Amino acid sequence: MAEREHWNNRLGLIFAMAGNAVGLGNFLRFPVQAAQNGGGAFMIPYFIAFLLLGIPLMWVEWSIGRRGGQYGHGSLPGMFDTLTQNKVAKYIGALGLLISFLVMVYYVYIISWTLGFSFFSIIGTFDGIHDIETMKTFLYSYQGNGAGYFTSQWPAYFFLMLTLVINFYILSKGISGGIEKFATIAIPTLIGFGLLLVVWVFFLGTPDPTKPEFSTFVGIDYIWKPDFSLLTTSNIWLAAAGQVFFTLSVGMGTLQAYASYLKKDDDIILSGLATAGINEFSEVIIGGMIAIPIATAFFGLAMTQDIAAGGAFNLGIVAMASVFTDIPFGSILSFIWFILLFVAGVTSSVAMAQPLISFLQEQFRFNRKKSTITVGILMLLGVHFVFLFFEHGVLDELDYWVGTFALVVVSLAEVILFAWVFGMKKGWEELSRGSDIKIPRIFYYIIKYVTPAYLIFILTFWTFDSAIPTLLFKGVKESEIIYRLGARVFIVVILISFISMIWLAWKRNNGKAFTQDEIEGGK
Amino acid sequence: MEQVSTEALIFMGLGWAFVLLLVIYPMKKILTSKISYEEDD
Repeated sequence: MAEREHWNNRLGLIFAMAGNAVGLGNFLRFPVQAAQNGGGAFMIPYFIAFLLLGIPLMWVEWSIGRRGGQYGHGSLPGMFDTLTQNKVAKYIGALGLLISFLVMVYYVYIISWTLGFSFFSIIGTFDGIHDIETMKTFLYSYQGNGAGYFTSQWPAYFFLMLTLVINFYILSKGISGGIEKFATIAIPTLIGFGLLLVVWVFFLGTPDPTKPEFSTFVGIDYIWKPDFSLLTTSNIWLAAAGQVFFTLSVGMGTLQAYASYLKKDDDIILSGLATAGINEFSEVIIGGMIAIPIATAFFGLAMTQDIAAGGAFNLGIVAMASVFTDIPFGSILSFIWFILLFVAGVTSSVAMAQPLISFLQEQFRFNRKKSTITVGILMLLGVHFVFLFFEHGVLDELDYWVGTFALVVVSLAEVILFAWVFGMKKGWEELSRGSDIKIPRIFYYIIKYVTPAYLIFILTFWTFDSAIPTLLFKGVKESEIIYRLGARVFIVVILISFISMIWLAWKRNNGKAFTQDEIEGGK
Repeated sequence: MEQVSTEALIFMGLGWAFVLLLVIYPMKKILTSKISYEEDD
């Protein structure tokens, strides 16, 4: 009898899990958040949120995933169903399918920009562009958002398709033959490239001696110098919790999907810590040391603050591309930076397709090839929606509801299902089984009380602070409203489709996952 | 380097130390104790 697929070796699993977590946010979002929220002082709420929110949620997700895998489930509907035996729980799991699928829909478009820019770096497409505004026009015209360098969107479309092909090629090779192999090469490469740029930042120092304030060290000081007065404001605590939340990729259904390919007694605690460690290394040490220090060395601190306020892409794509056109070996450094972002993006995006692929295999008896092709076709349709209506705010709308708000909803739901419905006593046994280290007992109480309370606080604050204004289109251009409404309809249609599929699967097979033999002999 | 203030250096040092500990402790344990998932087979 064929066994369910498993990870080939432990390091491969850790790299794949780390790849899932390490993404564009580590290199682009983190430095902007840190710099805007008190510099060194930001790290206090950041590490507190990491310990009270990030680590507990990550362990809970690994545990739910490993347990689900024992019942043949690689996606949240089946995992929640077997965890609670509650009739409603599997429908909450539909959110896990929705988030991973829809985030991938727009995420592949974003990472395709970095692939495009790494190619442009090599062939010198933006060589003559030295100022931020012109580079901004270059990026916007590439995205089809205004006139400029590009006369059509074909280049953007080409790199988008190429990104999709790369993703689904990796996915078609399966867990150990595709995702694990890719991550084993990608993560060390990514860290190597990142460290190369960090070393360069230290050597770069002050590129123009006549402007001593234009220095990478001024940028480092800006990120790390603590402003303690901000610690008394709620914004810094929420920003830190949000960053921890996004960086570890919790609440998406992807960690659980990967963990479902563990064996019953495989350790999850030490491996989870190693994964979180690699993610934090990429974020705090590499991510914090590249974009802002480099931008400060070339544009000065005041302008870097303006650039960062314009968003992560403004800093990571526009500013960085402008810097690299000005320096010796700039095209090589530019290529390294953009390919680093691309690799970080792909290691995350392949994880996002996995829950739906598993769901189709285990609930609808699709074999690997058929499920990958099906998800690939659905993805192809989805990315066209984002690609065609990008300039009308569709990506932002998807990112807010699916990539931000829903993540907190799913995390809260799963920690309640795990600690309160399944029960913390059984949950603790589940977490501890096969563990290579003893989990500090305090996490029993953190998972049961502190993490849910923390999430309820975040969810309540976000509901009043941003969800209601976003729902009512506050600050949205009149011309964009119809497109943003379209994005919401798109989200609801996909959610209803997933709920219907779950209903059908449970009606036909009572939610029992098909075995590997049945899947391999499947349609 | 003198443009980096002492407070910034202290916080950077603490942040880096925490992160390095978080990587080195589990990875060292995993790599040196040869705790491997394959051994379960």
